[in-house]
Amino acid sequence: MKTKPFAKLFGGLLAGGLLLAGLMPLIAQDGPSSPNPPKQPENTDEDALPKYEDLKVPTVKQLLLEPPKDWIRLKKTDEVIICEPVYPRPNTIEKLEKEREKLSQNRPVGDKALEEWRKKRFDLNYLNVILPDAGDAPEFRLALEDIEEIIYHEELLLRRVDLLIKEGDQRKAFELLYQLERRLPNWPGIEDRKNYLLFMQAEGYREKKQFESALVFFEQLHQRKPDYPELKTRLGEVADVLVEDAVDAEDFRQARHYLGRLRRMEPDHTIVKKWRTELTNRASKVMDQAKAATAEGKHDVAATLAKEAISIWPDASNLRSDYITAWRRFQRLHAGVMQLAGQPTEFFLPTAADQREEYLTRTKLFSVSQSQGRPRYHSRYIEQWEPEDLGRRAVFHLRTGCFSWEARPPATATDIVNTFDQLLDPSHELYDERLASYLETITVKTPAELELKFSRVPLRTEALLDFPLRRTEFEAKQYQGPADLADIYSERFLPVERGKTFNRYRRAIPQSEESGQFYVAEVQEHQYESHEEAIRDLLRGKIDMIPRARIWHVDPLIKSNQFFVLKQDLPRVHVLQFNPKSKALRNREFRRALVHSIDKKRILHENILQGADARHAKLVTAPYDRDSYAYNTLVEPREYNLVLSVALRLASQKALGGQIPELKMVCDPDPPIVAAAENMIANWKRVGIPVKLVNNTGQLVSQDSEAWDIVYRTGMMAEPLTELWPFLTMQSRARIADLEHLPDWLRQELIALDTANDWKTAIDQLRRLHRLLQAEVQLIPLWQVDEYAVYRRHLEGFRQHPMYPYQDIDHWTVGAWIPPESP
Amino acid sequence: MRLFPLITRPFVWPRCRIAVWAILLWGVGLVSPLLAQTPSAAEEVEWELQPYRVRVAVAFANEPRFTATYRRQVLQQLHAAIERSTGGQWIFQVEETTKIVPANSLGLKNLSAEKFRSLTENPQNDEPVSPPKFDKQFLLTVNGNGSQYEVAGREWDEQTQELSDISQAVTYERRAVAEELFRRVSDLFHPLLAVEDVDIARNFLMLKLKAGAYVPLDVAADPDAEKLRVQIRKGTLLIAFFRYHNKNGSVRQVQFLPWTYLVVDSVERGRVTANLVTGIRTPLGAKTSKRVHSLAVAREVEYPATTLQIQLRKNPDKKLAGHYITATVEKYPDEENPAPELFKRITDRLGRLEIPVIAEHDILWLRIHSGDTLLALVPFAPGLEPKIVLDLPDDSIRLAVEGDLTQVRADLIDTVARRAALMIRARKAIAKKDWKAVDEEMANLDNLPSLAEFRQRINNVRIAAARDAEQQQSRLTKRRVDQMCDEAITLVEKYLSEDRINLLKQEIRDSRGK
Repeated sequence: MKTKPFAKLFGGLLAGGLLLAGLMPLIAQDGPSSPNPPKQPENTDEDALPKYEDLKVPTVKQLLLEPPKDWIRLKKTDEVIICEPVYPRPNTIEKLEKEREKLSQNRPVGDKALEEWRKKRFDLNYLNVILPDAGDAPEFRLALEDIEEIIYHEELLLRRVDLLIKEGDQRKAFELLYQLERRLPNWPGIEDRKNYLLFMQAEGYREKKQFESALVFFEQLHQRKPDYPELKTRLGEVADVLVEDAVDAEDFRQARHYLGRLRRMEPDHTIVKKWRTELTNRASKVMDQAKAATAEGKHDVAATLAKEAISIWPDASNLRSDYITAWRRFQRLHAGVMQLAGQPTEFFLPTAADQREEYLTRTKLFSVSQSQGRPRYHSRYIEQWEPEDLGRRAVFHLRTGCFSWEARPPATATDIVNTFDQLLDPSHELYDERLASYLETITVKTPAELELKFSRVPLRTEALLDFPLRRTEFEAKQYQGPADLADIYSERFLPVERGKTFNRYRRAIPQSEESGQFYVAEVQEHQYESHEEAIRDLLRGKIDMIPRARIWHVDPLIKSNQFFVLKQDLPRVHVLQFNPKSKALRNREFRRALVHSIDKKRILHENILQGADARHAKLVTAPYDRDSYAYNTLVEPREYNLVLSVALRLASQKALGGQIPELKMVCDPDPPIVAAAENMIANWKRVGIPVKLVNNTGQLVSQDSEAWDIVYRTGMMAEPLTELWPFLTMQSRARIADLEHLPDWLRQELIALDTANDWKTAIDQLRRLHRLLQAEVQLIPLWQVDEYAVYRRHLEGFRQHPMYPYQDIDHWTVGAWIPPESP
Repeated sequence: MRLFPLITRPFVWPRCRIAVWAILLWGVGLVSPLLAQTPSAAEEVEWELQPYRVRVAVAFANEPRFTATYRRQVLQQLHAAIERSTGGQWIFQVEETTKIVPANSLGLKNLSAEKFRSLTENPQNDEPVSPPKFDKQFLLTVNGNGSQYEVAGREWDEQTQELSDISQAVTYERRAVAEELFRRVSDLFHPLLAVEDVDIARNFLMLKLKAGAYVPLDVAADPDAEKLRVQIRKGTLLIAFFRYHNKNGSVRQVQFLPWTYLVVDSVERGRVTANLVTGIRTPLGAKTSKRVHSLAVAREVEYPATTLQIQLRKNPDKKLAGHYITATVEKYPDEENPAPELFKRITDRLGRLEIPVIAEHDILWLRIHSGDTLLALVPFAPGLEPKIVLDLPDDSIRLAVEGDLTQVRADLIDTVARRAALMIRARKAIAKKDWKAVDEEMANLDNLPSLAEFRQRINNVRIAAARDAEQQQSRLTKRRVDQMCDEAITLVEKYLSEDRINLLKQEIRDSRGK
């Protein structure tokens, strides 16, 4: 009974040996190169099993690709039988012995049962093994007493992992370990190997001076086994270097971040104590300087220093109250923008940044304060105005003073008349012929009372007076502020510094020391490469607001419920306009060919919305809001029809001398707009209209030149009655001379709008103009997109439905924001 | 008979509003007075032999430097200068006056023409009125300003009943004041002429220059001769006007002939020939009248530019903003008279256009456009007046129709283009025997706006415009609108003919039958 199995076993071993011998060259190829390859077990006689000491741990390839095999190390001979995985596993021998003991305690009664019991008990003295490639009967049994140890396939894997770690190939080691963990997460030794692997990886990074990566691995190891040998020391060393580097770079937020990470793991670590003391001292020192600056009345310096102190170590004792005091006295608003005003681009029209700056720096006599279908006007200078004589006269009562929060200078009737002098002088560059056509006389009744007599009754007096107050020429020459604001009297905030990536504005009239409450004193606009970075800094508290959030970020920001995300009263309308000097574009059929080849819906979704909810944008047929009183809903958008476009292009081609010239397009430098423009150009190319985008040259294209044919611009038109004309002519004022390029009938339609005597006529005329402009394709309205501004919650005083991002900014307060100790 | 209903008060050229309807009505009966008699005095002495009766009044500022002796010296010097220059052409007196207060340009500015006028529309009686004492009065002032001597003056012309604009100069030389005063007189002097004969067919006139017979031929030919002496030369521009008299000889009205210039061709001993340049159909008639005198006055360029203002005839408050005005030298440029556009400008919000003096061209022909229509074609001599007003008919209805029909034409082009594309597709589908696609394309063709729809659109435009034209009682507008709409319908019928579609349908039937 015993002989046969052993004969079989030896037969199998012979076969296994032969097989192993055949495989060795392959193993040698896959495994790590070794100058002295181990001796191959010789296949000379039947008893020759490989010695344990001669066997090499299988390679990664063998372990992963070949069928798993266990090693059974025999006592006495120290030979190894390589077999298919044995069961039960792991701890096979212990488990079998335990079972035998259990069986011994349950001796049955009766011969038959006893016989079976004996047989079972006997069998438990042996381990059944299957030899690979052992012919028809590969099963053998091995007495447990002959087995020194069983080295399982998993153990071989772990041994290979150890070798790989030693060799420095952590990545492969991790992959191998991951394979094992995925299959047998509870295999003994995995955790130790993983910890060892993490430690070694961290050490590797530390040696390479990649301390941040080292810290990450040490942290992971700390989570797994906080008492891992040498871990605490290493953590301290790495964190110390990182904090020191951050402090040297004066990036205290970063320093606090590293220190916080260490503190969360080892609150009583000596490094934590060391840096806490050092940073507290440093913060106190800076705060002392802030206090000194406050004493000298240098509130801006004090606020800067206080903020620096609080950013060094927010938890330092008594720092918070000092910081809040300094900050409240001189509040700084940080805004994250994609584009700064005044940056050199090809685009000759005001960008959204320019418009934002214009609102920030100028206080108009009247300005639109809200627009819900029809605009409402507001004036900081006029307290009350009454139309008299059926509107032919208007008496304006001026505010006699300013509120303590107002950033504008006070004005008397004479100051306003000085502005009128310039606007009504035909030889002056600011001559406003529309205003001149309405005004008959201006009478200063008292310093605070002004009477205007009109030669014809204006429909909206306020819309006519939508301009900032100007300095006289003499005053402008004396002015020492920014040159571009020399002629503006009614300033609000002044640009005090223009950097490469930031602009800084300050109140034109600083708040006095006696003011009970203080408001925003300075606005800093920081330019970001991407909007994602701006949002990151908004989350970190580095900036307080984003005046113009990307539309695809709006819904996630609203959902996050961390900020005030406010929709502006007016959407921004995107429009294509044509150069009146462009010969090709004087041809109406050619303009129609252009409009029919733009796939508006697709471009809107791909480039403008970029996955945002479609409710934020709509296709339009006029250059103003769809909800405006002037919008003619009966005007249908032009269809995307390439066949028609080609037909029209061919028709116009004859008129253009048989060849379509290459058109040049200039667009707003906002990246989504540039992308949309490129998409349109691709559309036009499909119908044989070559268009080139002029961008990234940094050189301004002259509006009066023939260097451009099409311009892609955006705008927000609150009062189409007065704003449509300047918008069409791309000028700041409504001048007849700018309409020269239009057909006579269209010019007269615009003039008729300007001279309308009643609202009904004006609205009818506006809607008629909407239809005519659409038919004549004097411009191509594309779509309107909602505008959102994002404010941090410590900002107060802004409107719930703002018209402009900085509306009433001189009445805002920026709460003192204390950064967390460990961000 | 009320010939000039718009003009019921003394006529002042620079401020006059010249009605185009008046221009058009200015027919044979209306403007015949130009061939009327020369002034009654002419019955006794020929016009060219009549010297000017002139008063020169000088006011000195009340300053110590202008002593009685000095003032007397200045007057004497001025008298001598005028005498030397005019010889027997003028019967004049130089005197000091204290009636210009203050004695400077402001005092002159405050002078009212009414003070001098002798117009009487409804004379109380038929008693003959004695003729005016002076043909011209020169009102001059002298005042000091620091070391300066400011000299200014204005001319009152009895014939035109006009007070000229102020002419002023400054001198630092005390002794040159009389000389400056003389220069002012010379500058302000506008020679007078009487129309003798008119040849409308040849645009030719004969006139008599007042006191012209006293100018020796050699002086008249001397290009350096004084202006006061020669009065006019070849090329001088004249403005014609009529003086209407009452039975008693008093002046009832003075009326200038609008948009008409006489260009002096030759001058010889007071006999003048001139060419007629006019924008009105028949400015001069053949009838004569004893109570209407046809005269002319010479004008010179006195301003760097003249502002032309155009407005609605029926509603002068409505200024015609945004209208194109072009200028040419010739009235009707052709191959013989090539006349390139000198400028093409647009009127401002108040219907104004500043037209500068062009040195080479005294007279320009202005065209006022409204869309495809010419609203007016008038001659214009810039620089003679500071401002001139032109009344024009209302073209807004026709212009709006022009705009509407432009849209119809644009839509027509769209439709024709779509139709052509659909027919090409349909033919391709026929070739492939893809009858489903053929049906689709034919359905799309049927959905395109039809000829009837276009006709309806055009008729809607016509009806609305006709109603507005009727309200304005403008038959001309209605006629023009009808013409434009008819042309549009012809165009639509030409391009939206059903023949091509019928042909295509026949092709489809034939192909399907096979």
